[in-house]
Amino acid sequence: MKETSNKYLIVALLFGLTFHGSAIFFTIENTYDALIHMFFGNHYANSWFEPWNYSWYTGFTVMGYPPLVHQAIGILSYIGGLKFGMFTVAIIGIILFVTGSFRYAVLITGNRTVAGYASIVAIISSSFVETLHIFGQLPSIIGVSVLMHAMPEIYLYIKTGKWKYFFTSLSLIAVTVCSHHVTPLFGMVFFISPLIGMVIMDVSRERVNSNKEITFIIFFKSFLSLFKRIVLFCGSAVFLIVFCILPYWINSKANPITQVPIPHGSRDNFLEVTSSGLMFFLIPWGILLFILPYIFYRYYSKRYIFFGLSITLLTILGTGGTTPIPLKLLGETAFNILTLDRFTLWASIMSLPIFGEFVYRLVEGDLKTAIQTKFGTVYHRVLGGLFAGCFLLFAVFTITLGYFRPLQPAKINFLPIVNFLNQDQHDQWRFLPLGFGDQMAFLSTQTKAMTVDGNYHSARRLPELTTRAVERLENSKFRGIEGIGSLQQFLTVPEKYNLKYVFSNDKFYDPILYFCGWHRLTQLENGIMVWEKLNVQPLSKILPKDEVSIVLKLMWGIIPLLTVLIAFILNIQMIWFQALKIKVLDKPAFLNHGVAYTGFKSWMIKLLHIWTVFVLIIFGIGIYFIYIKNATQISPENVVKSYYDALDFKYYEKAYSYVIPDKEYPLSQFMLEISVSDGILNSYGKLDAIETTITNNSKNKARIIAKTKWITPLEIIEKTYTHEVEKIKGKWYIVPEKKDTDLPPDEFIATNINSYYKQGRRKISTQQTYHDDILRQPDLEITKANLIYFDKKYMIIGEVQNIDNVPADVVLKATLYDEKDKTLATHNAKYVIKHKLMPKETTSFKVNFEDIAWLKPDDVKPTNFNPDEFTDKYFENKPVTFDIQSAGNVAISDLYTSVALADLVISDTELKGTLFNYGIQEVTVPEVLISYYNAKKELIFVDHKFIKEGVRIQRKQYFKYFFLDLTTLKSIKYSTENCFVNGISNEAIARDVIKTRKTNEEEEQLQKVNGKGFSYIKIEMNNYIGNPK
Amino acid sequence: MMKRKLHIIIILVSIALVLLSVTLLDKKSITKNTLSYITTQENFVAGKPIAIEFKGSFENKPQLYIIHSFGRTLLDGILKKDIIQFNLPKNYYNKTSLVSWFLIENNDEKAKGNFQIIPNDETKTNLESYLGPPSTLVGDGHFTMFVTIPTDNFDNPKFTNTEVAIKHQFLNTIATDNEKTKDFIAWKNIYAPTKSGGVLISASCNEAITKEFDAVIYPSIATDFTIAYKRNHEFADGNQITRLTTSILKDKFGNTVSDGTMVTFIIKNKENVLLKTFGTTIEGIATGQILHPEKENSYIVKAYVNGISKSNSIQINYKSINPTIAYSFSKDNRTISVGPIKSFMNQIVPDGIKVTLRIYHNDTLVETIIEDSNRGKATFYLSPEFYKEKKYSFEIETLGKTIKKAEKNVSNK
Repeated sequence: MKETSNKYLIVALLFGLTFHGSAIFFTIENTYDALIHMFFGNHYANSWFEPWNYSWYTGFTVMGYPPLVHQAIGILSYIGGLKFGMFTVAIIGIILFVTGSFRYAVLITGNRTVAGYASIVAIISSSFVETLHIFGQLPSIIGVSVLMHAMPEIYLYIKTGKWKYFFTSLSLIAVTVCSHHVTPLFGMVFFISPLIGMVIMDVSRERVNSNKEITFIIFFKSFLSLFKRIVLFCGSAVFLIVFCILPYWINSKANPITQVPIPHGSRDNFLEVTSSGLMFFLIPWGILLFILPYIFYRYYSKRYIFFGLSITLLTILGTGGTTPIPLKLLGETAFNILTLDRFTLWASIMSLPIFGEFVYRLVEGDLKTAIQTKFGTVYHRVLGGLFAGCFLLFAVFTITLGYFRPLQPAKINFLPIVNFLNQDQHDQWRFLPLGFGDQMAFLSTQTKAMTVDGNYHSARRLPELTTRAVERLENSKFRGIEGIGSLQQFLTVPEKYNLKYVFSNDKFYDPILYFCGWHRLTQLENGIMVWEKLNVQPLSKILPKDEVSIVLKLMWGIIPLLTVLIAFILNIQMIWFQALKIKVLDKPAFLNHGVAYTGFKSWMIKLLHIWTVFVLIIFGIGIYFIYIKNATQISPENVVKSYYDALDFKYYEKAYSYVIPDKEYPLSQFMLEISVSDGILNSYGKLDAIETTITNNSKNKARIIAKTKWITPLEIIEKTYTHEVEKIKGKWYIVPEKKDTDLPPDEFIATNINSYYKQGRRKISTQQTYHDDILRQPDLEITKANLIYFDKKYMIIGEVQNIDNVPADVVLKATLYDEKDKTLATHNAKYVIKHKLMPKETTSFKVNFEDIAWLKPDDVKPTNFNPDEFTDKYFENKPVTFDIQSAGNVAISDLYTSVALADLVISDTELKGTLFNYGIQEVTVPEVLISYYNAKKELIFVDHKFIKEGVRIQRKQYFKYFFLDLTTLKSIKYSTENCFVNGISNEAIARDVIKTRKTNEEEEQLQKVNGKGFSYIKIEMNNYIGNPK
Repeated sequence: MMKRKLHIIIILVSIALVLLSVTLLDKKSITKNTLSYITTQENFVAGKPIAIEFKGSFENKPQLYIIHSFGRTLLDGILKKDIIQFNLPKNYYNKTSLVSWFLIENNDEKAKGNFQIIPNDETKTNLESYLGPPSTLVGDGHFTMFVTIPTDNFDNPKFTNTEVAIKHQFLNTIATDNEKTKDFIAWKNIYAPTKSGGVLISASCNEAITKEFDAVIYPSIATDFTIAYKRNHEFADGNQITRLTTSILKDKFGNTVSDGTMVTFIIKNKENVLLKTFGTTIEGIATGQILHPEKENSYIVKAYVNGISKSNSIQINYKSINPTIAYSFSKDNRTISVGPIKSFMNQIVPDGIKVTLRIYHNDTLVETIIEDSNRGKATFYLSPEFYKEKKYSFEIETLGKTIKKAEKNVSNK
């Protein structure tokens, strides 16, 4: 019989290509992974055989990910560029997926029409849409698609024992291995083993007359008869898994993943974290949820029993942390390394043939007849319409998810950044993007400059990164404060990483950059702010790399594409015959085992109805709870929480709607009041937790105490607010707070200020900077230095003055030594210093010795990370001496000093101060440095405090500070003997400028206090301006 | 016949003689090496090709090992009859150096010697120069050093004692000094004048001249100075600003200090608490500002350039504005209106003056409420929901003045 073309498959292909082929151009660049794969593709395009990549981290090997898809992108990029490569590979992936699901469905159902239906539903199944358009997991898609292609071949080999099928099946397995290593590994367990079970079942079936007659003995006999083939096939497959990506396995052994588990939504409890439930359970299952009983019923029939077991396991594993079973099944390690969403993906893909079958039966099969006879044609049509509508809705909802809820920052135009890096040798240093999202990978493909960050965390090697559960430094704020702690280490000691430039696409990070001593350089045309750090050495010309043997390099470069070539040659004949129908092929063995679709069980129809109602009720309850949780004004607590939520997300109009409606208090007034409130909390705070308690509750009025916890780039701020709330017409409202009515004295202010500019390279030339254009490093004097032991920590404190005639940027590095002059620790001054000093300005400083956090596996990780906390360096020997290396560089910005200490009330335990800003810049985050002196007026401690609110022009800001108890403080060495400035002895430089220091005049400026362990204090101000004008 | 014989004999003898002489000669050359160094020149001028020649017979081709400032190398010679010639490569003969050579044959040193390559005075003179540091302080022996290296066109330093004219200009004076090179360099320390400004420096040697170099002379550290203040009025209204200014800060040579010099004004108030404000100098004058206190006070102000210099102390007194504070209670005594608060001219005080209400019940403080004044008024409302007691007494404080009010009955309707 001459076979006709399967029109459903052709429809599926055409529809799939138009639908996904056009949609990917709008979605794939915003997905999580696609750009990473493009970056890898770029690597292969530039250096095919060299696995070492310098662009990310401090260099990493691309042998950490199977290369086929990346190499395909790389090779295609020679034709039309990287994006062309990526889109072409994506389109190939779509074709492979459609045809693969067709072939897989033919294999399972033995019915080409049903398989045609399956390929159509595969196209818009929400799990595929999500994997492609939201996650962008190209290798995963190609891997699983090729695996589906391999399955009929595997079946035929084991069934018939023809060598042709042996080679075709293995060639396809090899391609799968090279595109995604996890797919064949788990595929062996979840797809191929049940398939083998099915083959044995089919062979058994052929020995008897009906399914019922298959007994275990018959099954076992069949198994023995096929045993040789099974062993040969499985052995060869395992060999291929090892051999094809041998360099990968060797690399995994040599560089085991030291990365601590990074939280992933698929491991959450989906009932608690509903967003993860949506992304990793609801969307991938989609419409399949409604016919789950049917799927399980079919897969638990005798022939498919092993698929039934497999899909059950996959379903359970896919539930992540909702139940404890996945954790127990996989073990702690695997559970924390794997992303569990793939199990749901596989389960949904495994369901496709049955889903196709269901649709076939509903549209033109026995189910249609059954429903029509039972409920009438109208019901069938309505039901069919609803089902199709829901199905499409799920697909459309999934594909547009990224549009309505952007998963990534807005698309960034990288040209200005690339130009900046190419200019003036800026690419000789490393850079760090902040707030770029996954687009940072795209930036890396466009420049040869390197970054300390990266987007493939399994390849990281720096302990600073691997010890943190932080995906990228770039989005560290979303990893709460642990992320910011990690970022801090890089920003405080940037010279260690040759990190000189930060591209900030997120204002959030501004304060941390400022207080770590960075300054704004320029704002690029695309709105990205460039921050710079002075005194950082450029990268050396030769960078270290891990060498691997030439054999491995050749294997890595040649095998993957070779597998494709071989698979193509072996399979093309078959595809050719099948597609063009030139030759009548033998009917594949599995076509004999299809079931006849007659008489849809009526109890199944009933069960499906009950199940649907059940699912809908669950949905309804879920939606109701979400409503109640989010209903904003039904209780005093809800209104306060909602108010803060709205403020946090800057939905001011919404926030205003929770305030008592008052004609005298219009929205414009509310907005005005919001706009004038600046400071670390209002401008940079992210609400982390809010806890409300009701006091003075009455029927229509209540007072709510809201304890809020804010994550800011600098520290965790806990602040308690008291709100009066009132119930009006059944809704609770907040009584607006009174705003500061303080009026500044002057309407118009004229002032003279010092401003600076440095030319840099005066001659336009690509040569190294001319000698005459290099400014002399400003002279500094370290006037005091003290090694102290306090609160179980060693610290170095002191005071440094810019004794030059130009403003200076101060970098201060302190090193501790033991008795034998062995170096114990080195660190830079972080927050407790003014990094930019005017001529003759003085600042106190403190250097803490931080270790890379939680380096040791048994370190207990704090559950609540505070950015102000750090892991103390562990010392084997006691530090007895220290040196300080300071470097001055000419600074031209961030030199605002116009904040006065206008009032001060001191008691024995605390001080209450008033700051007054008399300049013409608004101070966003004022920092107060408090230095403690003993009775001999020797500096013994320095502390700092960030003030939560900013100081506006000609306005006051109040602060309160509690004195420390310094009675336990030990001063180990009070001396400036080993202090160096710009590499020269501190004393030599200083006495050349200031012949005799008038220390008594400095001491006159100290404030007498009756404190515990100290007698004097000094207060200094460090002013961060968020928006310099 | 005889003649013929003789001829034969003569020929035979001469052949024998020739043969003998050849063998004798050969023997001589084996026993005694006739190698000789032909090149007589001891000084070569840079830039001109240099060939070293040896005469003698050479069985194996000897090589010449040379040690040159540029590096060490082994040269192959060109053999012409009994003369072997070694040509120095261009990058070697272009550079001045004392060159040592060793003739090596079969790993044996056959001869050695040295010669000198001297700078080429016939080519164009170049001047390499360097000035550092690019800025320094006035007087006190501070200097900037100008270093020049006159070279020939092949970048070889010239002979010792080559004269270089170093010129520098400061204000109206232009000075020229002739310095002679020693150890390749001619240098001069240009001592900073006692006036701040810029010094321009240049040098010339033969026809070569340098570009203009400049060094900035910064003023030295400030000496003691005086301060003064300016304000709109003398009242402690918590709103106006007093400006503190310094005299022109000068160093000991009378130069105005660098712009941006930080001056700290330390203000000691009546309570012996130190307040502070800052100023950075512009043309030597630093200005700091301080807010008027809210209560009568007396400030003693002294300014410092940290560790360097100080000013005199001045005293600034702030008078109380002695406000008149009206207040009233509502009928149920739950609303307390304070104000209008009137200032020194009987005008209403500026907005934002702190008004404190302390609420006592049975002489214990229940609550302190602070309101900012708005148009001279502040209103306090005691909500019956929260203030459930029947009797409260009150204390109102603003601008340093406190009013006590005896117990009031608070209606609970």
